[in-house]
Order: sequence, then structure tokens, then C-alpha cells
Amino acid sequence: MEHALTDLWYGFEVALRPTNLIWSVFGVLVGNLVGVLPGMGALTTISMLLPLTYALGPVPAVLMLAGIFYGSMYGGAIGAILLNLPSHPPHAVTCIDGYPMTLQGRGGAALGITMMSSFFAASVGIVMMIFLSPLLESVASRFGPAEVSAIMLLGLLAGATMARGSPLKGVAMTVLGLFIGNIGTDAISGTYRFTFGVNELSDGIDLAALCLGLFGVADFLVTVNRKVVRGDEVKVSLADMRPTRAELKQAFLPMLRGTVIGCAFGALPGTGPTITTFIAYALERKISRTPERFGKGAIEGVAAPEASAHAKTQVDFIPTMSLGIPGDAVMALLLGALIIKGIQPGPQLISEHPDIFWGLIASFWVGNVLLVILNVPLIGIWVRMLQVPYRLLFPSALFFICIGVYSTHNALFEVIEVAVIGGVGAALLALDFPVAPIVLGFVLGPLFEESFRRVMLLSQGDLFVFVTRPISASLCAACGLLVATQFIAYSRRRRASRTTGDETTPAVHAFHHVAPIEMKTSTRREP
Amino acid sequence: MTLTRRTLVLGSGVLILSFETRAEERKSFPTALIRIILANSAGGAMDAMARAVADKISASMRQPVIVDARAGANGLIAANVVSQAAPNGYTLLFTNSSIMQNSFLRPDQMKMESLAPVALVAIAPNALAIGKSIPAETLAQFIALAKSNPDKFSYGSLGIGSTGQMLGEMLNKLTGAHIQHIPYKGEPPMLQDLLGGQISAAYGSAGTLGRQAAAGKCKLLAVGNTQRLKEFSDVPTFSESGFPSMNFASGWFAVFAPRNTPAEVVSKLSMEISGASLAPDIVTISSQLGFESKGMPASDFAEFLQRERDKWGEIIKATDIKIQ
Repeated sequence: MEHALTDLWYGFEVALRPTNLIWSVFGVLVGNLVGVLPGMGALTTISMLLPLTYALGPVPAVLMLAGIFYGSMYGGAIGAILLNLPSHPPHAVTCIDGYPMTLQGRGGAALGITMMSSFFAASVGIVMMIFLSPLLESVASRFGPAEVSAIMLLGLLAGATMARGSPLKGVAMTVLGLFIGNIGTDAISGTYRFTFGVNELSDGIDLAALCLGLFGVADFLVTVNRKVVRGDEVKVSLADMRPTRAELKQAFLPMLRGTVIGCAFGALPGTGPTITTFIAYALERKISRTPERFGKGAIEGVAAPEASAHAKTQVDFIPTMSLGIPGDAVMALLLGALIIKGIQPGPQLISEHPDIFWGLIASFWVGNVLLVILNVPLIGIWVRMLQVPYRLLFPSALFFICIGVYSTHNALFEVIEVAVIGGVGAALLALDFPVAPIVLGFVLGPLFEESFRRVMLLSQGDLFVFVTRPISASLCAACGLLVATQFIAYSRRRRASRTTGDETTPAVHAFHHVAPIEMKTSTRREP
Repeated sequence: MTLTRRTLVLGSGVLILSFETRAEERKSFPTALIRIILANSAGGAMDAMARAVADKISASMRQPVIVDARAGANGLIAANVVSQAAPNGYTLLFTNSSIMQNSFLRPDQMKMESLAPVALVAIAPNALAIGKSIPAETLAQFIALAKSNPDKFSYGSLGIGSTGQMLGEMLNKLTGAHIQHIPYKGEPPMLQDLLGGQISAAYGSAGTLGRQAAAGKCKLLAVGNTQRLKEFSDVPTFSESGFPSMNFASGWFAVFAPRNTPAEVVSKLSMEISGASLAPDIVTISSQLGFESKGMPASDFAEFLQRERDKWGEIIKATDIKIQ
């Protein structure tokens, strides 16, 4: 403990050296800015700015690249809340309640809460990283394919019903997402699935294109024909920007829960930030006494997922830095930058290059403080962006979407992809289908399938491994519990509706009874 | 007035351009920007290698050389872009050995004949590592263990048709052991499962596995190279362990041009790139990345490629690896 504190002190000394500080500031600034632009995720930005690091020392290089990463997380929320544009997939879930808040003129407040939750969660994540690394590592090492598939199943079950409106539609959209997730190369057998001979599809649908198409483009296509468009009705005044005391109170516990979820997922490499935010959101909706408020501008639906995303972002650095195993593509790039500098990422990184590890941790704090200082006054400016006439704002947003998705693979194919997905999304929106569960199914489906089939290969087809391993057994129990509570809730509602004579509910109930089983079988495949 | 001026400007522009092209024809290759299409995403070790080489040849040929990362479909996207580009030497492909896997596993989508070999830049040796809790110190001990406990052991590879799978199936075939193949999409998740004890063994790049082994997180049993690696001199090769036929296990990085590129252009590029690959600073970079600089010019590389293809063809036939 004391040892960690002296190391951290040393880290601050490294992080506050003028060159390191300047590059770290540059990183968070760029990250924050590109985070707002739709489609320009941290991954694209880091790969574009990577050549810049060739001229830098290893410490400022890593500090800058890491700054871009967590800076873009702050920026991402801005587009999601104000414009319904999830520039970074984890923020897709923030759109569900953040955008309605904007429509009600509370966009500024939502941003304020987001900044607070983000800073709080990031700080907790950093503390976890300093003191609990060894513990988290040992938990992570017990997390095999069985546990991963169990947690993905839990995420799918929890998320399928989280959207507002008809649960039947929510489940249907999750299944659609599962199907879209099937497109591409099967990870286990190498077979192309649903690619129709198009090579570009062999890597699957691009996640950023899916999110931007379903949210930004679809929303644009639906609203553009209405006479009264959103940009003109929203009035922004400075007083609205501050979250009210009641809102702060409402957001506090969700923020804590979101942080816990983010930290828990952060330790597990390969789970990704998108499932984290969806789980945090689903949990809030499940335990809320007023779940009907969700989807209509519930502040809890903004605070919890944003907190979880930021906690996850920070804790994600644990496996990357302490084991040299990158948690995702951004982390892989970060390690790549170190390799180019002649530093071998691996288990010895912390002892061989304490300046990088502790400097990075200290710079997280410096960077997060900077981001809050930067963003709080900027909220006013961001919100004012909404006053830009719709006819200018949205075409420019579309323009940035095109550039953003183009730059992910330097190919026009993604632009076509985003346009097609946008069209489909607009049709779904017009029919009042929730689009967020599609993203959930798309992200979790392939992860579930891949790990499930790996379990089956390892266990020679024995399904009992799921209950003989303690972590996976408890996760499976949680899945069962979830299905059971769902079942009880619906049978109760059905009983209530019988007395009122509502005819649609039995059908909904019947579907729900079947839905979880159906999802399980649909993702299983012969190895 | 404005119209005439515009016409004048346009006209003179066209004139200048036409002069330029005529001048270019007289000068020797290269006279314009060269684009190297990288068959991988930006930021990885392969990108670092490609950029280092690009900088070198850019300086020596006095033309800008840019690296354009076009990842996707295990290198197929980039290979297709280049095979369809004008065969003039201004569009090149920087790829790894996955291009050869593709030509065997997806022959309808990838034909090696659509590309002209330019130079072999470096090779990346593969290795076999086992989990630290597996009670074996040598390859022979591991095989004995696997044979006495059938169906208890598994190995990870980077997917169907990867070098790892070929090695793993070869080992099963040669020894009669049954070690279950578990495919992965990338090294990080495979490493995670190896270190966590979910799989018993893994075939991957010697550099990555070696770093974990050096920290005692796993054990390196053998490397697939003609001689022992400098960094891991205590680890025997597959040959030394009694499996000479498994020594092919190298990944490689190379440059290709579209088919029908003029021979003098290929030979100029080949000379430049193979020379650059052996420059002292590039050798340092590649050894840092866990590779070995080769700098093999076009003619030797074409022979090397033919040998590799024959060998892989035999292994694929013998082990019956295919996409289901």
C-alpha cells in the first residue's frame, strides 16, 4: 500500500514534467474533440496520430495516446446526448435517455451529470488500478470461455427487455442484432456467413457504422420530413444547464452502481465497453421503482452507463499494462506504439519501465481533471450548437459520419454500409421499434457464440461445465433468476390484465415465456 | 473576361500536365508517389515494419512513399486492391504469410499468380508454449503426457489454416497424440486463455510467447526456425526436438506488385526494398519486433515462395485442414 503511494508520487513527478504534461494535454484535447465528431473514434484517431509518436519519447507518446482514448470517451457522450449520435458505440445506450432529455431542454443538465459521473468513475477506476491490480488479475485469469459465455448470456437476457415500449419488439430487435452479428467470418471454422461473395463483408458489419446508421442517420431520415424540426423547438438558457438538486440526488446511486459495474468488467479482457454500458443501463431499469420513465429522459439512464464506461476505460489498462495483453484494439495500438519505441510489453513492463506505468496512472488523474475543467465551461458552447439551424447542423453531421466511417478502413464500403443501415433503421423507427437492442445483440452475439463453441470444444460437448465452474455457475443462476422474475412479473401482469380485459398481454406473455429459450438455441451451432 | 481567363488557366494547366507526362516517360522509375497498401490495420508490428521500409526507400528513390492500411478479410481486401491496380509499380502490397493461407483455403478468392513477388522483408518465427502448470519441460515430455492422458490437452492457434493449426495437426499426426485444436481470432485472447490455464498449449509468434515465458507465465518448448533464436538461446528448434518437418514454422513479411508489372520496375523495387530491409537500423527495428530481417530480392523470393507453397500444400493435404 505504502509502496504503491511512493510509486504514485513518482508517477506524478513523471506526469507533470513539462514535455509529458504538454503531450498529455494535447492528447486529451484531441480526444475530446474527435470524440464529439461522429464516427471518429479513439481507434481511428490514435492510428492517424501514431506516426506523430515516432518523434517522441516512449513516455510522452503513451501519455498522449492514452489521453486520446479517455478524452474521446468524454467527447462521445456529447454527441450521444445532444444529437442522438453515438460517435463511440458504448454511448449508444446513452442516447436512449440522453437525447429525450435534450428534447425536453435538459441536455445541458444531462451533460453536467455525465461529466460528474465520468470523473467520479474514472477516479475510482484509477484507484482500483493502483491498489487492486493483483487481485483483479487473479480474478481475470479464472475467467475462461465458460464464464465469458455465461456473462454474455446474462447481458443478452438483461438487455433484451430494457428498451421502452413493447417487450416483444425489444426481443425481436435483439434477435435481429444477433443475426447481423452472424455476418462475416465464423471465428471457429473460418467459414464466410451471409457475405454473399462480398469480401468487404467477411469482417462483418462495422460496429461504428451500425451505431451511427441506427441512431444518427435513421433519426435524420425520420425527422427530416417533419415540418417542425427539433433544432427549432429547443430553447437553451443558462439556468437549464445546471443539473437540479433533485436530478443530482437521482443520479448519485446510479453513478455508484455504474462505477462498480465498470470496474468489474474492466478487469475482464475481451468483454468490451459496449456490454458494460448496456448492463449498467439494464440494471438501473430493472431496479428502478419507475421503469416507465426510462427511454423518456431518465437521468439514471445517463449517469449509470456513462459512469460504467469511464470506470471500464481506466480499469482496462490493468491487463494491458501488467500482462502485456491488450484488452481491445485501442489497447493493442497503444502497446504497438511502445513496441515501435523498442519497449516490449509484457509482464515485466511495470518493473522494467516504472516511469511509463506510474507516469501513465498519474497522467490519468491529471488528464481527467483537465477534461472536467475543459468540459464544464464547454457545455454551454456544446448546447448552443443545437441552436444552429437543423438544415445546417444535420447535413454537417452526416458529412462527418461519412468521413468517420470512411476512415475506419479507408474504404467507401463503410459509407454505403452506414447509408443502408440508416435506411433500415429509419423504417424500424417509423414502426416504433427500439434500435438499441440491435446494437446489444450485435455486440454480444458473436462474443457469446465464439466462447460458447470454445467451451464445447474444450469440454468435448459436455454442457455441465457451465455449472461445475463456480463463477459460471453463479452467472447461470443469475440468468435463471432473471428469467424467473420476468416470468413472475408477466404472469402477474396477465392476471391484472385479465380483470381489465386487455387482450394483447397474453400474447406478449406467451412470447416472453419462449423468448429466452429461443435465443439460447439460435446462437448455438454445431462445432 | 472571367471566362476567358479561366479557360486560359485551364488550358495552360493541361499543357503543363501534358509536358509533365512526356518528361516523366523519359525519366526512369519512379517519378511519382508510391503507395504501399498494408494488408493489416495501422499501428501493429507489421505497420511499423512497413513504415520503416517505406521511409528508407523514399529517401533513396527521392519520391514520397506512403503506407495505406487496408485491413480486412485476413489480408484479402488489400491483396485484391493491389492485384487490380495498374501494373506500373506505383501500387505495392505489404503483406504477411496469411496471403498464402488464403490462396490454399479460399482459392476462388485469392490466387498467388495475380501478384508478382518483389522482395521478402523479414521472417517471424513461430513457437510452441505450454501453460506453467503443465508438468512438462520439454516437447518430448509434453507429448508423452498428452499421449497418456488422451483428450485432456488442447492447443490454441490463430484460426483455421494458420501456421499454428498446421503445426498442431502435424504434431498430432506425427506422434499419434490427440491434442484438441482451439482456434482464436487473435493473439491477445489466446494468450489470456493460455496464462489462465484454459488451454494447455499455444502456437504463436516467438516474440510474444517468449516475453511471457521470460516472466515465468508460461513455458516455451520449441521454436520453428532453422537455428535457435538469439533471444531465446536455451529453447530448442523443432528439428532438435525430433520433428524436422515442423521447422517450416515461420511467418513472413513481403512486398508484392500487381502481376504484369514491367520486369525493370520490379527489379528496381526489389533492389531498393531488399537493400532497405538489411539496413542496420531496420535490422534493429525488426529484431525489436521479434522478427529477423531477410532482404531477399525478387528472384530468390520467388523460389522461396514456391518452396513454401509446396510445403504448405503437402501439410494441408496430409493433415486435411480445410474450411468446413
